[in-house]
Amino acid sequence: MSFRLRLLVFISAAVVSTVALVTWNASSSARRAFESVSAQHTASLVEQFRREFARRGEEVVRRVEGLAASDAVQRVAVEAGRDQPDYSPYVNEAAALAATHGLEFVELVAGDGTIISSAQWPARFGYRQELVLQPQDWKAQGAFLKREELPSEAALALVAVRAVTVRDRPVFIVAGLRLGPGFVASLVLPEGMRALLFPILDPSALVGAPAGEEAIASLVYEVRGTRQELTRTLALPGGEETFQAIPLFGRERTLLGVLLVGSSRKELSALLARLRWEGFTFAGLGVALGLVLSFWTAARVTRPLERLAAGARAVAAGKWETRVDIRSGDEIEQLANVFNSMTGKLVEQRDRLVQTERVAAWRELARRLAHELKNPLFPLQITVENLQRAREQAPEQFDEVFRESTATLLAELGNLKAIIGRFSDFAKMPPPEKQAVGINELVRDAARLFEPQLKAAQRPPIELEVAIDPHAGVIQADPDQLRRALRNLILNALDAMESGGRLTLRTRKMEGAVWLEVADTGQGLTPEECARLFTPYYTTRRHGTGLGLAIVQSVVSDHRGRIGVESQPGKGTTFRIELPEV
Amino acid sequence: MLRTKYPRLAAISLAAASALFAATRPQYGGFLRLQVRAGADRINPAGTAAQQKLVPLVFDRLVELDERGKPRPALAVSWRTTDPRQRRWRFTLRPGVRFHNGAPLTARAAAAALQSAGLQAAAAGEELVVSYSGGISALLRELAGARCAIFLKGAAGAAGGSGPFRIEQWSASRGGRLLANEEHWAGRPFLDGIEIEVQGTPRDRLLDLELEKADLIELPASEVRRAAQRGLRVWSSAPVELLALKVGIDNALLREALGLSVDRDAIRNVLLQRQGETAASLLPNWLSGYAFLFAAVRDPARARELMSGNPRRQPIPLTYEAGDRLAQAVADRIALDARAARIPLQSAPSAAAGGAGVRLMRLPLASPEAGRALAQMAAALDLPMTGSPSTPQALYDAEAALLAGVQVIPVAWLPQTWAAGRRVRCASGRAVLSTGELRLAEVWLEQGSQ
Repeated sequence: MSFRLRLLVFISAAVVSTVALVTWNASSSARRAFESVSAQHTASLVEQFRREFARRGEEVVRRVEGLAASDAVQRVAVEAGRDQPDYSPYVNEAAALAATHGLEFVELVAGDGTIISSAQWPARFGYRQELVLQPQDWKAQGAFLKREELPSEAALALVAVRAVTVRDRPVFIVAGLRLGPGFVASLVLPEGMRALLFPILDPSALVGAPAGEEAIASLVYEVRGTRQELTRTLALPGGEETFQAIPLFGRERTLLGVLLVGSSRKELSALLARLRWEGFTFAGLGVALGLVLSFWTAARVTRPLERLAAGARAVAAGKWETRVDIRSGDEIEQLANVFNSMTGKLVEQRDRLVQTERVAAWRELARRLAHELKNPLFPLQITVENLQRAREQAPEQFDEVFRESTATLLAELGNLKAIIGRFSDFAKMPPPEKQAVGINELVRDAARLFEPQLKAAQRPPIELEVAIDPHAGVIQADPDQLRRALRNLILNALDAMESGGRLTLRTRKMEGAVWLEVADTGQGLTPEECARLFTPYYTTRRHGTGLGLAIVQSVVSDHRGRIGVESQPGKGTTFRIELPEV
Repeated sequence: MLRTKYPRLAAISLAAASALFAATRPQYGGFLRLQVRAGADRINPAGTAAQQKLVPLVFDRLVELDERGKPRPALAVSWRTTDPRQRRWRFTLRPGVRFHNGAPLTARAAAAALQSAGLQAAAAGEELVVSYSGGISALLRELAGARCAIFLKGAAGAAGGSGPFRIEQWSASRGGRLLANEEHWAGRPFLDGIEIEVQGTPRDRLLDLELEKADLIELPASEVRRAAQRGLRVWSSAPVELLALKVGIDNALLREALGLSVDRDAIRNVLLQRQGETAASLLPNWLSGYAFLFAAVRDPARARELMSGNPRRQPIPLTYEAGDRLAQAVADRIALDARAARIPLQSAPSAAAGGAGVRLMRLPLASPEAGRALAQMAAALDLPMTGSPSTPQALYDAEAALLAGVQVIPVAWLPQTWAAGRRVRCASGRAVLSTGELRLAEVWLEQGSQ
């Protein structure tokens, strides 16, 4: 992973984790604050419900007492006091009383529990109202919840009971108000809150569950089972909502209804969603900022380093004079200065080395030239001295000596000329004239050329192995120069195997290049010899000119190829030439 | 054979005799303001109960029933038969009678009117011949019915009568105005006319009567006691309207349970305020004479027992005519009684009768003749009735057969009741006959009260 990427990942991770932490913290705080406010609102609403419930109860009691004091009820009571009461004229009395006293439910009930008149269900006259038969001091009893039977349903009612007695025969007034949507609508609800009243009047059915909000019905069922206040957060189609469920009991703790105070969590959800969105936004911005910062930092840090790396690569490629110009004023600039200093010293040392090598080469050339020239010069000197001595000491033999001496002189002069020619040839290496050359054919031709020499009887046996890669194919090269180079390598190998051995010629095609190997099993070279092997005029042989391998390297170099040598003393040497296909 | 001339003169004489003791004498003039429960598109002898209610004001019949329900001559002054089997009767028409359009009453016109009522009638010279197999008593009762009123078809197709009042204007929804027939054969009515108004709610009618915005109002039985308590004069007929359940349910056990669950006494004593009678028969006892043989049995325990082996959860509709408050109260009570017997009856108003379920119906007596009334009732209930019973036994058998399957459950008989204002006076003391028929020709208004 690059430094830039690591920097990006690090900055992004830092920003994202920070934003996530802040978002989580803000969300938690918002949630706690919301729930606290919601709980306060719910408690306030529940208290408001209780107050309103109590107020309505008092109102019901007041109205029922007013109703009990009315003339109409007194007339009914007087009728009840008769020995044979006839209640039929009063069958519609309850409805009239309900209308005049603002009550929704009014029943006039005789002392034996027989309904005289019913406002909410006029047809119920003559039926029994068991409630009044229970022993109770109705005067002290306030309003209470009651299941009220209606023709087509049952309703939840807040009722009070009062009795009017004539001649010890009471007439009961059971009257009250419906506790339904109207009652709930009278509550002042804060925004986002709602109150739902669920009468539980039929054990098998639940009245009033809003369509699509069956979860509410489940909560009501739960309250019905536990008979305790519950708080639940429900997932509804309109969003999450927290409900406080309050059981409503009638006489003898009969569960008659459930009040649900719902607090919508829509605002909280919106707030959390907004926080999340902002978190994502800031995280995204952080990542983008990290990206910019990383690039900027990279521009500040990695780009000089990259330039340094490029400079190093250039130096590695041989451009030792490469310099890196960095003006960052920091350690990178110091590093660049050191680099420049290093390359400067390298160039200086190289030049010095080149100079040294050049001097060494000249010395070697001078030594070689002196050595080469000295050998023919000595016979020349001896021959000329012999001529002088023969002239002075034996003139009669002078002619014969002269003939012999001139022959020798001519021969040695020929040698001198040959030596000078070889040096002249090396100096005049022409540029390659490239054409399509089958490398395998070249190797085979060379093998054929040296085969007789290898099989010569006077020399130790050398086994020739030719390993041809059929894929080696054709390259663009100067065939004469390549032949000359190959011949030099083979001659070197033959020279190295004075006691016989194996000569291997191998071609190979590898990665857009053709390899040519010449290996022998001769005496091998030391590493020092290997290092100087291609230096002109350097030779390990007594009679070598030191130009053979220099010519080989020159040919390979002119073909944009490379030559290498592997050798171990006593085991042999392998020369490997790599030539580009194109 | 009966022959009575100048009935109006007799009435006036009676009134004059009464006047010796009365505070006022009969007086001519004034318009009587009459409020009725339901409107009618027209006053039609062959129409519905609402259309027939005012028929005697505009149309005459060959015979009328007196206060005791006895037939007496009207357009027919006498009747006789020469048929040994007494199946063809000759009616002599009152001479000098003219319809409201001035056309004279003829045997041909009377025959045409009776034919349209389903009777076999023909003109034989000046006399009208009616073929009838049920005996003269039944025939006279039938002829006294509103549907046998004599009318003359006008050029526009409207039926014109010869009754004490003629129609000046009429509106189906609001009522109308009748004017005194100056040429009526019984003499001009005391009233100059009648203003008829449709007033839907009994309380409003009662209030209008108390405030003297009305002189005579139609009153449901449930309000009779209240009206009486307020010192108003109430004129009630004999029970003339049957309140019955038409049970369109296939389950015979359920029908039986429903019949056993109905608390008729509670309905009669409380909802009807002790007016009318509990009913177990299709015809009232005053008409059939045997109604007491049908017992109204209430046995809720037995009804529950029947339903326990035959549970029913699907609600059964009990419908009644929308706007009829008495019917609503009765239906609600019946539904309550049925529910106590585990019959899921649910009352609801409905304009349309028939179909599945139970329908609470008002079945007015269509004829003072028992056989005709029973046949009409069977037709109204859509129950099959074979033959035309001519003897009490046959009539009883026919009625018993109609009741046998509990497809109809009689609940109560209702009287036709009217309440009169303070200025309304009647020569005979009451302007409503036992049949519920209004007889306003003998009514006058006390002067100075308006």
